[in-house]
Amino acid sequence: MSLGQNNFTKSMVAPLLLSIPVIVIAPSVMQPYALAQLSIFALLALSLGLIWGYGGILCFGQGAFFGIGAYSYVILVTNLSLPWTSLILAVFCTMLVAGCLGLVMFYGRLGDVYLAVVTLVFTLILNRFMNATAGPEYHIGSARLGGFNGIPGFDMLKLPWSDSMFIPDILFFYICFGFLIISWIFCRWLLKTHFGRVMIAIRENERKVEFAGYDTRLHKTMTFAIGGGLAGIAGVLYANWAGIVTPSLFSLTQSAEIIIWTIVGGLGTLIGPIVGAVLLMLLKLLLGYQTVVDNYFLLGVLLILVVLWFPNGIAGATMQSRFLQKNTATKKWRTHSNRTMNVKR
Amino acid sequence: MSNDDSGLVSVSNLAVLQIEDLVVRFGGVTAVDGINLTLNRNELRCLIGPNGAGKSTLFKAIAGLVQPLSGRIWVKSEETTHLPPHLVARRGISVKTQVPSLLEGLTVYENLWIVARRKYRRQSCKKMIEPVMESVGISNDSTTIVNTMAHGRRQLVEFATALIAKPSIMLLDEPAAGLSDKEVADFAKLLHTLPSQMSLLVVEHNMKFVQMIAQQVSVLHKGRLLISGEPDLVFNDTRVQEVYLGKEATA
Repeated sequence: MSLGQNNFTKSMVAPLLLSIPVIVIAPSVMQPYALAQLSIFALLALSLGLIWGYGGILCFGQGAFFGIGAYSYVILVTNLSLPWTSLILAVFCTMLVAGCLGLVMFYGRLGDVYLAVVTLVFTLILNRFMNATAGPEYHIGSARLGGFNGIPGFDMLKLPWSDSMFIPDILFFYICFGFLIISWIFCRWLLKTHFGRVMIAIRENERKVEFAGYDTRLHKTMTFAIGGGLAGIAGVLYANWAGIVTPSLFSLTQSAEIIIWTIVGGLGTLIGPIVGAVLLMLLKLLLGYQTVVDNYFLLGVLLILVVLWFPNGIAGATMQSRFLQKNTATKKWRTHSNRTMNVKR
Repeated sequence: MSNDDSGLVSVSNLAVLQIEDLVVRFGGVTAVDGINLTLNRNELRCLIGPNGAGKSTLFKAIAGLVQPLSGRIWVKSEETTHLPPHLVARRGISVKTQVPSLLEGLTVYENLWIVARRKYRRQSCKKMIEPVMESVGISNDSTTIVNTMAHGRRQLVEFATALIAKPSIMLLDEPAAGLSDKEVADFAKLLHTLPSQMSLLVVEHNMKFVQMIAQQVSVLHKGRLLISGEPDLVFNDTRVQEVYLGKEATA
């Protein structure tokens, strides 16, 4: 029984093994600039995969935390001129906002549907608000919010040993990919801890966990804050990738896309949302060259098809294949978490 | 529960659970209407009554699932009236619900582990879980996912999750519901093997089962406590026969 083990090294094996071919092969197949974007969105999808797939919290506001991370970084770096410190502080800011929102929602005993609505509205409010901050009176320190036009021209992440203002594309891809792998390892480790087990248990039956003496509201708030923090990291990296932050980061389209990536990839797994984000972003890039059918229409059709034919998503379907079932039969927690019949959708 | 001269509430040394003038109302319906009840250490008290008597509501109020309008609940010497369920659980109350409430996608062992781990260190959990599974008779189901199990087995798993927390009070809501006669008899035997320091409050409809296990019986009717006492005394009471067993008082 793997329950009593808390092995950080074990959590590292799969992500590190999978990352080797990506690091070696991917730059020769695709532009590092596009690879960095894929890594960032994969990290964003992972954040939702953790809180929805394992915490059972359907959040329509993951785009909001993505945007908060990006804006926080830009505001902080404009005021502090310390890129790496700003990155860390921006992630903490995002976690704090997610934590506060979580406190209100979970201690207010909101049901699943209301929770989804609140996070959706939260995203909408931020989008509207940021769009309305065009005037010079809207500034935080020396950072003007810029309204619809967003904030361009801020200090990017730099290599500490280099005088260059920018990180080369290939190196930036490795940084983004590194953050993705570290976050993936962190999530795998987290799910093996007592906290992670309780998170899964809450997804299965919150009342039962309460009867066991756990404060489920606190656990859910912490899970939500961790998910927000991961989305915040993605936001900071996105700001550095794009070189500008605009209110479109808070758009509902962005939030909906994250949900689609997660479902298509496989809810209740960590690899699923990563795969979903990468595949759908690649598809979007390919579709971008044609003008016959709208991209989002095709994404919608794909979502419906996957939900109908592969309710467990791509990763779920793969893991339920005979070969992998045979090889993971003893890893109970892992196989259970692929049991989407128990995942709140 | 009584007020002494100083105005302080005194709690009996024997009592592990005391309920005083408890009122629970849902809109215009009074589900529990001024109930006073005491559960002593090492006592097994059955709570019976017809449908709508307020048994389950009282049960939920004790567990912290519903908030009473007035009245008080003490667990040992600590008031738990308005505490949320997890804090009530931490005061030593374990709950077994009417329909087995389990972590559906997880195994029997994992269900027990989650409960045990809150109280015990990681290394001690295995040592705690195995004897409990053995005593309840679910050792062979250790790796079975609970939502694939039959109702009777699920009842046992939930009972084991209540037991593993080593509570001072166990609340069992219709533990015999949906069990065969043999399973009911086995479950009654199991209750008799429980540690002596544990007190049980059992809400039950199955009279055969109540007669097998009860040391004390309390009858609820329309949200009020009709009578409390030893089983023979209660079952022979004409009021109980009228309201619960459906017999005429004069019969």
